[in-house]
Amino acid sequence: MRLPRFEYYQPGSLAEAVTMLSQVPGARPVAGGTDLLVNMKHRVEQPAALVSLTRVSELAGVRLEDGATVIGGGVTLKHVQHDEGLKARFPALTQAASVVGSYRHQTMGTLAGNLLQNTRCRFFNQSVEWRSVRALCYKAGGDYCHVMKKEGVCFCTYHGDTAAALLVLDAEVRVEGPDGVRQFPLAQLYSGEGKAPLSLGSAEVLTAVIIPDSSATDGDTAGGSTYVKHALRGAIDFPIVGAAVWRNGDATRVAFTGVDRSPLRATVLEEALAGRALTPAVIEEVAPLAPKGVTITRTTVQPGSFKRELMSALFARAAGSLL
Amino acid sequence: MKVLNVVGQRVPMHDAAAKITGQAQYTDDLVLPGMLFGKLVRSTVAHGRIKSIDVSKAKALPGVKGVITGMDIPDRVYGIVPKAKDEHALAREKVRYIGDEVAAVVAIDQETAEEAARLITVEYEELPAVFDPLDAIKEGAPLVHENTPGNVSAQIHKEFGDLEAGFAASDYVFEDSYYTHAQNHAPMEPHAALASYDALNGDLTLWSGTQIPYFLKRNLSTTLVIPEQNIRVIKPKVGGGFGQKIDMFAKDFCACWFAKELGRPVKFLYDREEVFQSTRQRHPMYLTLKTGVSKEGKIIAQKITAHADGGAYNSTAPLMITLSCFFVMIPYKIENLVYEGYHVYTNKPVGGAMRGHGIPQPRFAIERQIDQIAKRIGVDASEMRLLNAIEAGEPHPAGFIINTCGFADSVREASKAIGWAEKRGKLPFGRGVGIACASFPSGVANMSHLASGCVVQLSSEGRVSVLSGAADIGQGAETVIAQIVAERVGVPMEDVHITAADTGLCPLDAGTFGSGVTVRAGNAALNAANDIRAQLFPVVAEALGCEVDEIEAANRLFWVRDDPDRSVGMRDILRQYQYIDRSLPIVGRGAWVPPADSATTLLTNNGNLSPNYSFMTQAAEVEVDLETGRVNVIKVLTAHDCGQPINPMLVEGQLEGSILGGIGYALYEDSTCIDGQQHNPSFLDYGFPTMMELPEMEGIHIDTDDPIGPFGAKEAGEGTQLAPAPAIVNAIADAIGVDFDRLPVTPDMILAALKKQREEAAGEAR
Repeated sequence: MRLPRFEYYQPGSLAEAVTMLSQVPGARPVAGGTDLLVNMKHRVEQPAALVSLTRVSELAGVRLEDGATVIGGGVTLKHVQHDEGLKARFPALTQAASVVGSYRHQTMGTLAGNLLQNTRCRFFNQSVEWRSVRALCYKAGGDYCHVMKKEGVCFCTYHGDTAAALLVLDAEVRVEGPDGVRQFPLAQLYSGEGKAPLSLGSAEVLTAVIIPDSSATDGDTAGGSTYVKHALRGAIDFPIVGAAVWRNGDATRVAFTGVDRSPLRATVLEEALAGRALTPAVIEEVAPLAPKGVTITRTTVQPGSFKRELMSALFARAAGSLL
Repeated sequence: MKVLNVVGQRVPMHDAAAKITGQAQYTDDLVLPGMLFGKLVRSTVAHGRIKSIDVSKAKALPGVKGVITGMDIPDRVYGIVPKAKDEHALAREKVRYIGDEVAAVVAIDQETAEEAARLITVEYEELPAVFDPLDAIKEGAPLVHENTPGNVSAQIHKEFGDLEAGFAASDYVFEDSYYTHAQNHAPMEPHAALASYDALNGDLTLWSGTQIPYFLKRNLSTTLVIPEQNIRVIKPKVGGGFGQKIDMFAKDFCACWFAKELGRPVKFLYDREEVFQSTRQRHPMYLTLKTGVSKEGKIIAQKITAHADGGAYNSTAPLMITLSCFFVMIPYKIENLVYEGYHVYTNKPVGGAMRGHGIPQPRFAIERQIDQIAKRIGVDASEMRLLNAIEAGEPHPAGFIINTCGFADSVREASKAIGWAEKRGKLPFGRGVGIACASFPSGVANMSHLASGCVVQLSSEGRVSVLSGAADIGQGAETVIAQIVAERVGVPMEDVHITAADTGLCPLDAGTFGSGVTVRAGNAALNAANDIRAQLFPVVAEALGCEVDEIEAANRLFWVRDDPDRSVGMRDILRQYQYIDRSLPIVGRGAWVPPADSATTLLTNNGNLSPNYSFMTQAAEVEVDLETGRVNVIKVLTAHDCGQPINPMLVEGQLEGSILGGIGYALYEDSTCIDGQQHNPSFLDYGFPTMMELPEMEGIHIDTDDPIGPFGAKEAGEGTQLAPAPAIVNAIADAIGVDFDRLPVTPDMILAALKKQREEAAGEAR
């Protein structure tokens, strides 16, 4: 399968990148390309131009700003995984980075790219020839859904690993575009729509991920964070379900990926846990609440009942490991 | 005690370094001046009549050099089995599955060819389609091929003994049904073809990633209407076949057609998606087993009914269903047996030969049912297998001649090594062990075209050149043949240079299928090397002053067996050979065809199916994650009677590959279809196991010395693919007490079964 033709730009600074993105018609940013290039081969995304962020130095490095940890959007998943400071303070993130795709996805793929990956569906992530057999779906620009017969709604599902971890770490993202810089909670990056899953402007670049110092844990008995993933195989695959849990004292946060149109905090579960210390009995009691409020559809081959069971099981496993 | 120097040694594949350094040339690596690139247009409907094809836009695209449809080529069908030919390179009136070829284009580059292919529009009159063989055999079902009523394109019915009397004499009779799914071969190298035509001589050359160059040549000749002597098929390096590359495909025909029409070389390369959708897959099969046993577990009577989902075309249909039938009669002794098998057309991707070829499906059913029966009647599943084990030299109901058989030993050794006595039924819930057994032919003996030839040339410098028709598809056939020649001529491996699978240079060979290469082509090579000895050794005997039969040869040295100090080197002998005015090079010729009393078709007659038979028991230990349903295969071991291994390292490679393939078949790989469309046509979505899923592996060699195989060798290729899947599913049953009757067993099935089990237990407790 071959890439369609496109123009390629390689700016040397963030300002230059933003200018190109706002001025070149049909331009899209690309970093590692592990998500976008595959979609381009399938002709489900066909940008006229790609603006490479690989030489934009502002996106590099992990640093501290007023106590908060700031990870450049261009930092590779491999780098995240092996950063000793991140590993000690935010293990959910480094664990999530370590189970993304395969070794090569991790060396090429960036943290921002992982957060910004497109939603997926077994009817959408297919070649143009494959899709030509059936009606064009909403996500591909048509007016049909092969998964749910609900008019006008696309159920394409979000399958990034690191987003779930960063949600429980209360991370924020910083983006820079033609109108300047804005920073907001990670959850707001996701629109909740399958068809257009991100709330970024077309010329905006995700420059950094900011994790507050209050989310750091030091691995003592009262706190910690972790990410567990169930995928088909031990490598390469997207999560069928991924679960992240953060805990500090009696506070617990839980997030899932692979189950809905965006990664999400398990609000019903968190409410049930509010103010309660995690114990094996509590975990067992609340685990069945994990799937509450989530719209699971057959965008992958696994049945919804299985994914709901997995959500409970993975929550219990992740939470149990933090006791 | 045989003393061997090259045979039996762990010799690296002769082309391993070239492959690892990227120098080996596969079909797509080949580039010819002026080469054009092709692309096929495929059906987007599962079943339909072609109303019209508009190629005008494609033809008008700059860079396009040719466009053809089914109406532009001769109305000639092809197929791997002569009497079951049913495919056109490009569909004529009708398309029969999503992915069926309807048109082909060639252009100056790949992008232009692809763009042109998208510009071709086909108008179909859609016809009702059928996607399940049990629906396809029903009265009134749509006919995939109008000339095949009931959609049954091949069937076999075999009866031995007296089935009803057997059931009547049994203490218990059990009937169970099973289903096995479609698995794709997923070879690393996608299918490719490159053709070139010499208009002055009318000679056509095709480089193709094929397992059977000579059959391909024949099918090209009949469909292109070119005499066979004007066609040369060359097999470059092939990156895996597993049976998927035994057929001719549209890419072969179209590359040749355009090369001839346009006078320029033409290449076709399939996308991975095309490999999944439009080549071949393992036949899904519905199986029902009715088995009568004594209270000790002796199988007294068995009836097997099988419906194979053939997809839209035959490919190997009659052979597949025949093999499926004959290999339920081995490795167990079953005196009263009926097998009824049907190959059924559906509007789906095409079934074909795949490692094990029609046998893994019934083996899954039989090996599962033995475990289930053992549990029901309270006998040990390993003991039950031993009780029914076939032995060497016993008369066989179908007429198999089994000269050597290490089967019973393999059951004992595998059970011992997996810790059967300590573990079976005794491990904590979630952990279990299982075994399963199999036997496989070393090539099919008594069907036509199954001779192999070999020419060995010993030059005046001592260089040994081998011409063999055998097709090395990555399994190491060329290395094995070179080892046999090196051993017999008495030279080290580095002196042997092999040229193989080029129909313009090499002698006839049946090709790589049925696990017959080592025995058949190996014996041809042995005969050719013996012919060299017959010419050379009288001169050696004269030089050493001994008799010919006293000579030992190895490492370019000849010596007298009982007096090793009397020796002479190869170089001296070749010089003496020249001085006495004998002509060089010395050329040895050999051919071999499996011994058979009479040629039979197997479909109608019985007989000795193969020159010899491998036997094996495979054992697995698994751990089931009770929360996620994931199965972790901890260990798989194989107790294996493959006779004398020519190259133990290559046998280990086959064993390890079969284990990963078996884990895939049992737990991961499912080539699914939705409305007839192949649904997971990529390595990501198909999801075969990786190194991460690799268990601990062990091979236990069961010694036998077969009188027919070269140096006592038997097959070691396909047979090992039969038992890993049932062994794993049997181990899952031991682990969690759930008897799965269909493949693959996926985490969601396991969680659902555990839930049901808990609910039933709760119900009983109430």
